[in-house]
Amino acid sequence: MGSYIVRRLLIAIPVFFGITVLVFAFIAAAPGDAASAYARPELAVDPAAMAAVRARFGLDEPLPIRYVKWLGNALQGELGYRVTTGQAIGSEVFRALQASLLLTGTALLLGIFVGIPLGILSAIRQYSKIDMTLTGLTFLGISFPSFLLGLGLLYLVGLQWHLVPIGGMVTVGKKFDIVDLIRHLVLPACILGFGYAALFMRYTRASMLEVMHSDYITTARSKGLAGRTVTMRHAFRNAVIPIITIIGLSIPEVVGAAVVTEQVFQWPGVGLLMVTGVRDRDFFLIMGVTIVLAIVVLVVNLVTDVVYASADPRIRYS
Amino acid sequence: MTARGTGVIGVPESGLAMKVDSPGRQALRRLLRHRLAMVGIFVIIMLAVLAILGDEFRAYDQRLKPAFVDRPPGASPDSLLGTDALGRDILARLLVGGRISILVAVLSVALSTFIGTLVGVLAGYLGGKVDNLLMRIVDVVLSFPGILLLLVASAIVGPGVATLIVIIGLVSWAPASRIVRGQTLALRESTFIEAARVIGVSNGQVILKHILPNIVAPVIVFATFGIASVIIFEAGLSYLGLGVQPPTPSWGNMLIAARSISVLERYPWQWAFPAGCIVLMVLAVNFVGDGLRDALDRRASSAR
Repeated sequence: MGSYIVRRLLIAIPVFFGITVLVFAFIAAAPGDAASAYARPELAVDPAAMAAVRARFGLDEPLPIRYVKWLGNALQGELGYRVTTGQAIGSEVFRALQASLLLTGTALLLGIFVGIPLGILSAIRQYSKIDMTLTGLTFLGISFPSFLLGLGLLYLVGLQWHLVPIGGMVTVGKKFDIVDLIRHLVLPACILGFGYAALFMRYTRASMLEVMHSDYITTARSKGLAGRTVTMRHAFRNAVIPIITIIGLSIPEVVGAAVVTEQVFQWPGVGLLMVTGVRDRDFFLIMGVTIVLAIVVLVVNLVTDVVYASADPRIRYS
Repeated sequence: MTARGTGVIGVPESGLAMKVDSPGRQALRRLLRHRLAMVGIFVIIMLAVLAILGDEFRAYDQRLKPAFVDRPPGASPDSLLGTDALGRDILARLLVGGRISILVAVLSVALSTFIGTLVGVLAGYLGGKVDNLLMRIVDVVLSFPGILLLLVASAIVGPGVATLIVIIGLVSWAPASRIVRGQTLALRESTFIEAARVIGVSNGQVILKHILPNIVAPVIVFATFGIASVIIFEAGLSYLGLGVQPPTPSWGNMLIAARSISVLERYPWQWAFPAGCIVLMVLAVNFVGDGLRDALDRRASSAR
């Protein structure tokens, strides 16, 4: 097991460098002068002043050196400062990451705890009315664009019925309290959670159906075990393996794909921060968000691999 | 058994002749029986025809231009679906916008399917080191959320229709290559490929003539679902202001209006119609994808 984790880590390292080099190269290739963002506009006409700004921020050095320096700083948590506000990017990304993880983590948990049981139910009652209804809902949940669902529900629940606040994570100017946070969280989390629930339900159902038709299940039934025991102890434990894969595969999306939904609900997560960075053409901010997300995605992938390996004894740790 | 095709099986004199359709025809028949897929195809054709022929019905050139005072914002006989904040006709913009959205979806899926198929066939057929390298690249691409790469790329290259097509194509080929690789691996070991190789058919010919025709079914299914997800992608990016740029309308960037809470609350027609078009199109394409999967890929019809 130990050597397996080490191997996975060794694979993760080049992936990490790949992502950072790629994004750095992208940004270096961008048209425009990064120094102009830091200089006062009236100085931009003076070559000497611009050279000074470049030297001040290390922009006059060759690209590989800039990359190594940036990475060195980044790994110590120094991600530079925002072009527009001058705030430290590191702490801002960290705060946004917390907000994002709160939102998508809640949605993912909702998805798992709603989707998997319903998937099992759907599989053991195959072709019943409840199965048909759930399968139909699954189709809707997977194909309905979640941010449009967000817009629609925001209009209905937030603006017409006034049941929930219309955006943000907490009420501005109010002292923090958990009820307020939950009221802000409930709509976006349910919308994202609906999509995950649908996805996990579809795979749980398919995977359960496949397992339920295998011989050892027939054996278990014919030796007189209770239906519930067969379903949970025998069938589900094998069916859960592909479900873990799907949950693992949707994790990068969990971290990143809520971008548009975050915009709809003005949720102050990494997606919203990234969009801000792109709009301001604040490349240090973009790099900062990217590197933090890359680390999160890699760690989560690693955890998934390990969980996967321990759920399926057939996987060799080599 | 006669060869595949429309051969006649049985003894003709006995009158028990039975026609057997080719696999392609059988698949078509299964698709035609799939009721939801037929609804989907109908909706897609309707939307596409409206988008393509829209300007034949309405002289909307000037309707796309801002008209500041003389048009009311709500629905009127003059503008059936109302007008937006700049007095532009929503219906006219929907028709032109649909054209852009569909164009982006079709072209970028064509690009990603091409790359994905190429990578998948090469990895699966050549195997060994090439396979290993290509699949690690696929792992990297898959392990990072595509929409963020899109954001970065769109920030750097500058947004626009062409950029959007190329970027979406470049970030969304990885799943296709996995599917194609799996199929190619299985095919490579089959007897007819071996036979082709034994009689001296070159690798390129084997891939083109024998492998590609046999993996076309899952590729078509992938591409269909791909179109649905690209429509959502385009809508999301344009909504963020990083996709199709105004004044060129697309269903996605018409939603930009809804970023303002007052528009969201008081002028629902400005965003509800483009949102409705996106939902309708996405559902229709997914219905067709489901039908195609059931029709073409019998084995995989229970699980994706």
